[in-house]
Amino acid sequence: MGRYFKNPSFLIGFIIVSLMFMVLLISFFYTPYDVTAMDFSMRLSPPSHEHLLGTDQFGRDILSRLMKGIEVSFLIGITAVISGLFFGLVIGSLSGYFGGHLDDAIMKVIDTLMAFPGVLLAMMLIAVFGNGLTNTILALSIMAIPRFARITRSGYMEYRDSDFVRAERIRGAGSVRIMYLHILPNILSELVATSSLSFASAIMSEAGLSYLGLGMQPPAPSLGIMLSEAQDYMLRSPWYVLIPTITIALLVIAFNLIGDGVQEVNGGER
Amino acid sequence: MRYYLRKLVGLVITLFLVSLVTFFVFQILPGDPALIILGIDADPYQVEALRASLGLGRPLSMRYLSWLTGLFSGDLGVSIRYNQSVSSLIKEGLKVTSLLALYSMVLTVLIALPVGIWLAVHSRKRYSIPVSVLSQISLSVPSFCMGIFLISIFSVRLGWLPSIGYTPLSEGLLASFKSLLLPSLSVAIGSSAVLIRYIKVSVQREEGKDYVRTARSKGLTRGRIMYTHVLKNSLIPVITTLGLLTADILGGSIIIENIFSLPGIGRLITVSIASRDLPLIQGLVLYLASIVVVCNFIVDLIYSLVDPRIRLR
Amino acid sequence: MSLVELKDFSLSFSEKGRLLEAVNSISLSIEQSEMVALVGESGCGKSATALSLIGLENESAVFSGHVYFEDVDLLTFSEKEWEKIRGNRISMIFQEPMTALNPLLKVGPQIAENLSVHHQNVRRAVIRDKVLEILKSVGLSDVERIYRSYPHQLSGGQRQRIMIAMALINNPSLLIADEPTTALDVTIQAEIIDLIKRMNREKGTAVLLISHNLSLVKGLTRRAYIMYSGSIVESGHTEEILNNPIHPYTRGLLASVPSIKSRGRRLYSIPGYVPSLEERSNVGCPFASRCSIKSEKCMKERPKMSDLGGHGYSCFFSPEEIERRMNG
Repeated sequence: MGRYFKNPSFLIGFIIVSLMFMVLLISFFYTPYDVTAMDFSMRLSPPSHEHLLGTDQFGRDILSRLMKGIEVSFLIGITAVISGLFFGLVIGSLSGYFGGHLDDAIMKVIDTLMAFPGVLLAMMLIAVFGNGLTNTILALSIMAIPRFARITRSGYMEYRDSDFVRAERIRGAGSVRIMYLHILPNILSELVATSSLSFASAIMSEAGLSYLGLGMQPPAPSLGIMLSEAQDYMLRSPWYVLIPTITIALLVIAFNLIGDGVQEVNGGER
Repeated sequence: MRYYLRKLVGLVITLFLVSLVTFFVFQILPGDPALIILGIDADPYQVEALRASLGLGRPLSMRYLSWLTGLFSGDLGVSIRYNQSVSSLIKEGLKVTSLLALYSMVLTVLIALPVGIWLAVHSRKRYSIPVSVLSQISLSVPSFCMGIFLISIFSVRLGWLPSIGYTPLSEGLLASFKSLLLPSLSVAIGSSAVLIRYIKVSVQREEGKDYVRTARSKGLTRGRIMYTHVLKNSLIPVITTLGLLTADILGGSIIIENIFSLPGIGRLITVSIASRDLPLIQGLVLYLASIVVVCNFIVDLIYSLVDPRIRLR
Repeated sequence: MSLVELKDFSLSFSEKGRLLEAVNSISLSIEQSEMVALVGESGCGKSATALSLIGLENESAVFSGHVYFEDVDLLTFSEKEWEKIRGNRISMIFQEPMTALNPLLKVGPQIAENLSVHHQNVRRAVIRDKVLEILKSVGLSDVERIYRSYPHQLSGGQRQRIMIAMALINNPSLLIADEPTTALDVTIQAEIIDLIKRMNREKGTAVLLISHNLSLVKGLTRRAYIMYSGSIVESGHTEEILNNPIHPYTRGLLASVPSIKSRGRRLYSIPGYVPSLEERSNVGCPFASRCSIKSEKCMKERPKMSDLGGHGYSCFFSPEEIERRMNG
């Protein structure tokens, strides 16, 4: 683990994510104001002592909404990564380890899914299930699977004929044992990197969908919703647009950096 | 020849699967589609009419077949929201979107190629760090954030370019180009950052290969080795990335069109989903996915043309 | 004057603030048109020496001593000066012919490139003719077709012939052959060795053959240097070294080569292993840790080269003493 912290990309990413995570923990217990409480006497007021990041067009406290928005982003990122990792691992390992017709069929399906640009796939699912938090999470979770499946598959293809796997097979180890006890540790770091990158793209997609009005619905606090509402007041209150923009960018940068760092550290060893 | 034949069969199968997915995903719609589209308090007479026009009374496979045959004759049904034929709507939207995607793609390559190569050559130098940091940042800022940024700088502050709306080609080449410049730049900045990384890694990988040592042992200068030997070898794998990028760029333009109020496919798709316009959604999704598949097919063809090793396999 | 003269040549790599010595103060010479072998196990520094001779050693390498080529010290060369001499006066062929050629370019133009880069203003047709000619002279047939072939369409042996053609097209005075046959099938190996020998005879190109294989060198090169762990431990006429090895390492190396004489007997292997770059010590004889006849002195002092009528060896003991100690 220590070698990761020596990598500057990983370290910077890790620090940003930790800070964001602390904000998230605090938001469970405390936000300066209620996220939906409106105060029309305080519409679009700039950052001040009372409202550290100012207020929006309904006089709601931007800091409080931002804190809850980060919570939503993490919730979506975590669920997307867990489901992507789980289903991607199962599908990809079967496909890569056994190969043959099973692999052909699975890859054809994955390739087909990959023909739908990421956002489009999420949009289709939302068109079917309707919008809202749960359905957004569902859509983005399904969206994350193909990427994990591909990475896992190529990892298993690389190792399935390697000497240590052959040795295990000769010793009579079962397929499941070889797949998940012997091969999996070898591709773990790649999966960690992919998780981090998937986390970033899930956050990005949620913001995009909510921005289009297809994800979370107002008045729920989400970074995408904040951004789309703020866009109309770009001239009058530039900070209102900047705050969610920078937050999204920081989150995405941080997770990308972690993913890069993990890849760099492990790439250097091979 | 067998290679091309196999690729062609693969293309047809993938297109077929795409049509299957597109059609059947919307059949898992819970409840009565007609009711969902028109709302619960709709006129029962209208609901009945819609059900008939959607062919809901017939079995699923029959509906898929007639949708598929409709596809081949260019008939994708009628949009409920616009009350126009889906194919004519797509045709109109495609004029904008294809231009936007084309500009974005060209810009992406124009930015990424020099920067990626420069970064690969100078990666160990200190002065390359700001460039890598910048490309890392542009990789991470979502395209719609980038769009809003660009509007606030170039339209609002500087007033150089229009912020929203589309000027058709028929009203002048330059005006049309100007109206699409910011949107395509918003898409291109992000995707060029992806491409830069691929180019950089690929060039660096090639530089360590044996044939580069051979070229050096011949007494070639580093510059000449880069241009006559390394570049061609390292750009071949990048071509594949270009295929993957088409999906990214199309996806990116869906959102970008909404920010810049461009009347393209992306805008249509957002409206159609918000209003649950089933025939229109299906048509659009099918169209976009098919474009991606065909682009990837073309990329494969280009790949085989530049790499002599592929054709023999 | 010798064509090549290495004097107290050392090469180190700096890694994590430490200087690791890959080649330790070696001296070596090659005469005009002579074939010389540099023999040793992998990691002994022979390839590093070869790459230094053509200026392709890693940029992090630190040199000391002198490397004279036609009386000019190559170690003082700038990259520009190197570019003029590489492929022109000094050429090199490598171990792996499968990857040494650019996969995307046809073979002919790749050879032609070596000619045109050193001779500007030569007409294309002339260049082409010269390439076809050299392809013929390295024993390839159907050269028109080969000219237009991509590397992947040719066999390993054909590719190594092409590498040789490429290296020799400018009639260099020195050809460095770094394990040129190791990656090839046994039957092809002999053909390539014959070709190098023939080219040496016909064109008068001096050859430095780098090899781990003592039996390959036999009957091929006039003289040989035996290298161990960055130092030269024995040098002299090849036949002399093979018939009367002096240094315990050379003796061990020869005893571990299977031969008709050793049939039915258990093959000898030198105890221990070659120390890695990090494990090497600068004091004492480099072979001391594996030597069966070492004394106190060997651990503390580095032996100098002794000369016995053109047969050099670096050991504190006399040949008779070594013989006695090893058999006793």
